[in-house]
Amino acid sequence: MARPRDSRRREIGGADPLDRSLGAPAVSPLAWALSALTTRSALGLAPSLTPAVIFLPLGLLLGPLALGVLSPLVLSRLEAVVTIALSVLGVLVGVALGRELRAAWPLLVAASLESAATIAIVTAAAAYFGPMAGLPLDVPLLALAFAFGLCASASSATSAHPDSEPAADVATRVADLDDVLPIVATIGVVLFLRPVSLLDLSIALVAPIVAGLAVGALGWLLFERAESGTERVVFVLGSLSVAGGTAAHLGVSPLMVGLTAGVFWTLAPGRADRIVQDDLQKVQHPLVVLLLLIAGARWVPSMAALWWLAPYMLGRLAGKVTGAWMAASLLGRGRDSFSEWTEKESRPLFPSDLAAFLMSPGVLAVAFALNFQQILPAGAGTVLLSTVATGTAVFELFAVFLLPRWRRRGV
Amino acid sequence: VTVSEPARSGRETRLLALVIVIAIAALMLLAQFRFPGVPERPVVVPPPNALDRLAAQGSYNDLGSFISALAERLAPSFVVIDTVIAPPAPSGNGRRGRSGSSPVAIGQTLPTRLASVRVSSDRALVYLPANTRVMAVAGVEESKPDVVADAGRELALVRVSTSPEAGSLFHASPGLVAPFGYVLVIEGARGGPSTRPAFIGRLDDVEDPAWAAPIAVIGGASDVTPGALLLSLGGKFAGIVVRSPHGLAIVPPRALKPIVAALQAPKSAALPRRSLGGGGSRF
Repeated sequence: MARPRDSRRREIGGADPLDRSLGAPAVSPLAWALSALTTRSALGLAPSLTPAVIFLPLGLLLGPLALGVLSPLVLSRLEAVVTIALSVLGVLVGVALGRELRAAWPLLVAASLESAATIAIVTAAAAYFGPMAGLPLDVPLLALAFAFGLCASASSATSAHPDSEPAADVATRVADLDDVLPIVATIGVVLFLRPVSLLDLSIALVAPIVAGLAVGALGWLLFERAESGTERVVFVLGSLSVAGGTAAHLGVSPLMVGLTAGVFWTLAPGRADRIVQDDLQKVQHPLVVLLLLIAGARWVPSMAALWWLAPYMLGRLAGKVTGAWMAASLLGRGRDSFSEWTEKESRPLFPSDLAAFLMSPGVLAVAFALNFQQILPAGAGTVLLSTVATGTAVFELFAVFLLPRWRRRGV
Repeated sequence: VTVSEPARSGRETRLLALVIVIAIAALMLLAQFRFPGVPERPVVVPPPNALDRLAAQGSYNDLGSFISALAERLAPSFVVIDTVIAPPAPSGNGRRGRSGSSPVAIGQTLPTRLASVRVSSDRALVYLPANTRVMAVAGVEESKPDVVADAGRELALVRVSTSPEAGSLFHASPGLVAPFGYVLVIEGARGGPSTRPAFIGRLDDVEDPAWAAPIAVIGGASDVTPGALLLSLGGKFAGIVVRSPHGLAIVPPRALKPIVAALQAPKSAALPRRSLGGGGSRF
């Protein structure tokens, strides 16, 4: 049964024109020539480049290794901004989760299955590869391997417009929802880092949820009582600053705090989720760009980061393919049921189509890496961020250049 | 091209299985290549407990946290070198004092730990005063450390354990030490480099023929010692503290880089000899 939906979803839960338009300006002779020569996205309709491909290298250029505009001091002072940006991303994922939870929970199950498969395979690949290759570690192996797995599970499905075909629509919604499990599982990295008491475990599990609910309640009470649009924006941004600040102060995941607040605003009576989504559109893209610039500036070339790329990329490739296979099997059980989650005609959901769309990691992979950099010791955090940033750029390029050929053969 | 659904389904199942098999095979193949890294296992630093940050902290705690975080991030750039004062060689043996020191005599003196800064993946620059020799290098199991010294300037390049950190701090843009301000001082300690803040008072730039760039002479009493490495508060390398005819002085990276390049060059192409005896000597 088709259900009306309020907006076409992109990664992290909202309309995202930046994802679509960056690198693909309005048709000009040069753009047309470039497109004809090289870049066509998965369906030949979507952007040729995603923000990660542009802003990660730009961040590297502005960072301490090149121009030094983003000096170590500036980067350390931007830590608070990173935390708030992560909580904003968490809110957007939470809003997407809250809506799909009502409308199509099987999609959440399929997306979680897909991300769980990716997490398991990348974690296993990293845990196998690290000791075999003799990689230096300043954190427990399992913690680092699990962090790689969580970063790898993020998908954006930005290589195609969600309205272009039913598979793209489903893939986009799966990509929205496959970030939920890794955000919740972030706590696992902390648990693997050191032995914890039951009290510590309880605090680590409960604190982000309590903080998220508190921020959610705060916003819910304020947003609809605002007397002007400007005042409302101040309330929204203030609530998100509280979310980020609380997470930073408690030392818990800002993504999880934001996710909880986002779900609260969606499920609570009223228009809080719409207000947040509308107002966040004004800051979402600058924050995404800032996150990518910071990640690029913190990128440090090292042999260790290069070595870890092997399990990260190969594991992610195998994980996404396996996960897409499992998710497509679940969603396509009785092929007509596929149309239940789209407004389009019924068509089988092929695992290779879904895998192709999910191959693009998007901004959330980098966001996870920035989050883990706050948790892990400096050396391991830098290696993780450098590996994930490089892997993200490579997978985005992979999605742009190779996947269209992959899919065309099958269509 | 339209393909019938059962045919496509079977073909793509094989395709997906092929991707997984190739990924696993490639991973197993790549795992056979050993990482050319350090032999020792780095110290595992546990993260803070949940809610630790709820406790109120004073400004000194903030300063400590800032330095702790910076020190942790920069630790791979430094290596601790144990040095000893070599007693003068017996007269008339025809050998230079440093290389001719008696092992027994050296063993009876207490080592001084100095911090060195990595200039490449396996070399570090250290201040090596006259009549001092390198006894041990952290992480290197060698009875006779590989040292190339510039005796005139009292600097030496020491072979250290290989690290992915290939001297990026040394070669990055230099830090600025402003007069009447704080700097970070890196010193050698038993478990690794130690970091502390220090206040620097007056600084006077002095042209010295021994150095390719002006050195900054520290005015007044200071608690920094010769051999200490200085960083700006932004975490950039600002120089080494040395004894000079003008007093304690900070030698900036701009003056250190030509010396490092000369010491790294093959022996035949070593630094041109200068009035202070700047030729590289290997011992």
